[in-house]
Amino acid sequence: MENTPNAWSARRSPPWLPLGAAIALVVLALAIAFALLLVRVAPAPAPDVGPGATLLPAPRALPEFALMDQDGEAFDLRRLQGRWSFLFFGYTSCPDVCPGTLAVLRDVHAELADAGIGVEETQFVFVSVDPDRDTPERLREYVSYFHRDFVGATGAPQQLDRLTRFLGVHHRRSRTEGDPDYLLDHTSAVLLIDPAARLSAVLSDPHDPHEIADSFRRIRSLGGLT
Amino acid sequence: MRLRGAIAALALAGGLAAGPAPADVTVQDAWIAEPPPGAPAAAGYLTLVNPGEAPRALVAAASPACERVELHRTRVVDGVARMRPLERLEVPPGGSARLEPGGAHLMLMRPQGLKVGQTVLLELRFADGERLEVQAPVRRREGHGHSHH
Repeated sequence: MENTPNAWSARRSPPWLPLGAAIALVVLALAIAFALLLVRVAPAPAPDVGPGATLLPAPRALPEFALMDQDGEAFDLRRLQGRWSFLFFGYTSCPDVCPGTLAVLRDVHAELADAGIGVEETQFVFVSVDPDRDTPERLREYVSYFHRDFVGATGAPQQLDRLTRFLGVHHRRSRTEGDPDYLLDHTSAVLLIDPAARLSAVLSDPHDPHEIADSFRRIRSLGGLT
Repeated sequence: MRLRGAIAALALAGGLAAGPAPADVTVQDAWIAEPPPGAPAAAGYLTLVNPGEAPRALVAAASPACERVELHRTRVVDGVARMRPLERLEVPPGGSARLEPGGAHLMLMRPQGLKVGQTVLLELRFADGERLEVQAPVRRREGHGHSHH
């Protein structure tokens, strides 16, 4: 049989073993070198701006648009210049998500104000995607309930769409046209616009006032525009 | 032994004659979020607890404080909040079901000037025909603890 002491001793150092070990070592060395290369080549990791916030790699300048605010004044691109804006899209007939998010933003506003970051640096804008029902008067009552400095804005569908398409904000009626109590599906994220009127970050659901305030402070401290 | 057996049999017979008495669903933490002025709908939240052994289901609600009450559920799918009518909210035996911000909720259509400090009477209607009345205080909506499920 093969299994004799002689055969055994012959197998103790088979001729392929040193070659196999050498190949394995080379492969390992290559793998380590490749991994090190990857680490060097990979872009610097995005700064940590908090769990619910996604910072755009490069801020994106908003297009021109023409809406109207709760006092009947023009609300356009210029209104987003010179300070940070928190934008939220919804409608006043929404009983759950919209008042919930505006209550969060009310608390964000309070936390930032306590930290000395006031209206000269930030504004909070509720954009109604339901211009048929949300008149400026109704918007004024609605947003001022959350804070007197909050802005409400809406406008013609094509003007709203200029803004929502650019920002990736979805909105669509979910009940038939004839129903006066139709509902709207809408994006739940809050969008952070920098003082140069550029989309800077997306603040995703679920929203927490302290997390949003913290994310904002981190984003603002990254430099660039103030 | 024989006596104890007889008592057990009597008890069993009595129980059968009366039918299995359904343990009542109880309501906890009912509240109405104060609607902003001019808002045509307010939201109501509560927890239903079912201590019984049979499943129960909330199917409708009503209140003298508004035109009508609808049952809805919010879901956030791919970053889009979608609110849809809810046919029934199951309350499993020995379990509970929550109506909470960002989830299932009561929608009070055209509420009549609800303000913090007021109390709203809600009538909850279950699939088995049971009706339950509960007083829900109107509260200010808090920003923290707001979540979606």
